[in-house]
Amino acid sequence: MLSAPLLDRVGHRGITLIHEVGAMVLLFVRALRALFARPVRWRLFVQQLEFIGGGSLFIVLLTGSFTGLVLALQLVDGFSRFQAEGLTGATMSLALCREMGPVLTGLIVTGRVGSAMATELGTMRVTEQIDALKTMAVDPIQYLVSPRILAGLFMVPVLTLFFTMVALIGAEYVTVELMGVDRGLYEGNIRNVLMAKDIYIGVVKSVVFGITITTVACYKGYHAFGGARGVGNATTQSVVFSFISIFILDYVITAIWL
Amino acid sequence: MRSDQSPDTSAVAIRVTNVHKSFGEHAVLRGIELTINRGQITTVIGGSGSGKTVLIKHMIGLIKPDEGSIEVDGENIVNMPEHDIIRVRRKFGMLFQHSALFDSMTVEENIAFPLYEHTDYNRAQVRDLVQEKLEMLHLTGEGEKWPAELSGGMRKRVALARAIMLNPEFLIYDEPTTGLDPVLCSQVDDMIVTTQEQLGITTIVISHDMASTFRIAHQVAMIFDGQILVSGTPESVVASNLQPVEQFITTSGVRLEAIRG
Repeated sequence: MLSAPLLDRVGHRGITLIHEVGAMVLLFVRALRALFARPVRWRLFVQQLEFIGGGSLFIVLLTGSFTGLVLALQLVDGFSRFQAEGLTGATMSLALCREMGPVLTGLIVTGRVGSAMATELGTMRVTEQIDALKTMAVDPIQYLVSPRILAGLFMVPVLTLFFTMVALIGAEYVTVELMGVDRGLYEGNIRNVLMAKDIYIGVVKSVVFGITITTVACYKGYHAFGGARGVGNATTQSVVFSFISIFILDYVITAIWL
Repeated sequence: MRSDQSPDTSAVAIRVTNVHKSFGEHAVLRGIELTINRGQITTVIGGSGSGKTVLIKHMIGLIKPDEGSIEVDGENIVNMPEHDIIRVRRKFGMLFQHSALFDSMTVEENIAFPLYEHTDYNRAQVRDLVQEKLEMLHLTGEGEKWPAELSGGMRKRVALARAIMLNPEFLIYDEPTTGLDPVLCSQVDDMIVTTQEQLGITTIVISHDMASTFRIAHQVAMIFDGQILVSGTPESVVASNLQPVEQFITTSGVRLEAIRG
């Protein structure tokens, strides 16, 4: 039996959560609309592309290759128990394109980029730099938020592609070179199984994650308050919120797609 | 050092009428009535949390009042669409308490920012204008530095350079002397007066520094309990003999007799 105060608290948290999600969607819509207002912020957009893409590429490649390596080891071992090592490639390619590529890349970008964005905007908020933008008649949404969301939308799919590619290369190396599975069998199975729609769903997911990570980070940073401590809170909340959102959205998109 | 030639005191630049504002349960402004005269320095005084900054943010349309009207140059900005508010906002320059310089930009880039945003000047023209402002505020040679490398006083001057870049009609200082030592305080006072005299800008200073207020202000308005308790020349404010005013002045270490002369 739930006690009344507990119910009260749960209900209150629920309402706050719904309110926040709504505010994030509104921020996203405003940022999108601001993209069509003058002046077009090309320089800021390119800066953010470089920050998200260039800054994360190395860690994405590193994580991707080890993910491929270890997954291949496990799968070859598992499939060998019923003499089906040849399926390793097909299984890997499905898992990576549909799930692991977008989700793991999303988590990496959240940790590396989302946190930095929330901190930067949060600091700008508490040091009145955002107010300064407004008093100089510059729309802070258009100046700060729009370029970041747009860059996330483009760059997270690109990073996901890199992640999936190196993971598959690593997996092929382990399966064929180290574990001695026939290359023709390995690649043939991938060709037979992997379809365009398996790649599309990965792209759709990574676009959604890219938007989510940057929107959440910008929202949390933009609404930070209470000095250095407030900025710290905003950063933590943005990372936690993005992580949870990625897992939930991953399930929702998969459920709709299949 | 306060200049006594006050140009056309009848001209009202900003008129705040019956402004109310609450945040949740907390009523911060409760019927503010205030006029800001053109070409003068008006200082708004009041304790911490009395709503001085909130009042200023109303004037530049960053906050909308629950009730009341705010006229800037005769235009009521309260129900103005965002597009028009941006036009009105361009009449203002504002110096934030902690300067609010963009820390991702150098001093020069900070000062040039309003020009790149709102004018069509080319690089050479922008550079010349920036140099001119750097010289005017004794910042020559500091242009390449980052805001984090500057002292508090220098940051204020850079922020002032940025605020006056587009030749605003109104200049607002939010607690310009808070956290500065007495020597720097008086330098900032000089800076405010000099800027006002050189450019004839209508100036609003939010402050709880009484010594500074009586050095520079043409007009003083005191916020107390969400309302303007008293406003007028510094002499008339002191002469009002209101208890909160006297308490505010004496506890800030300024002797009443010295002001009354």
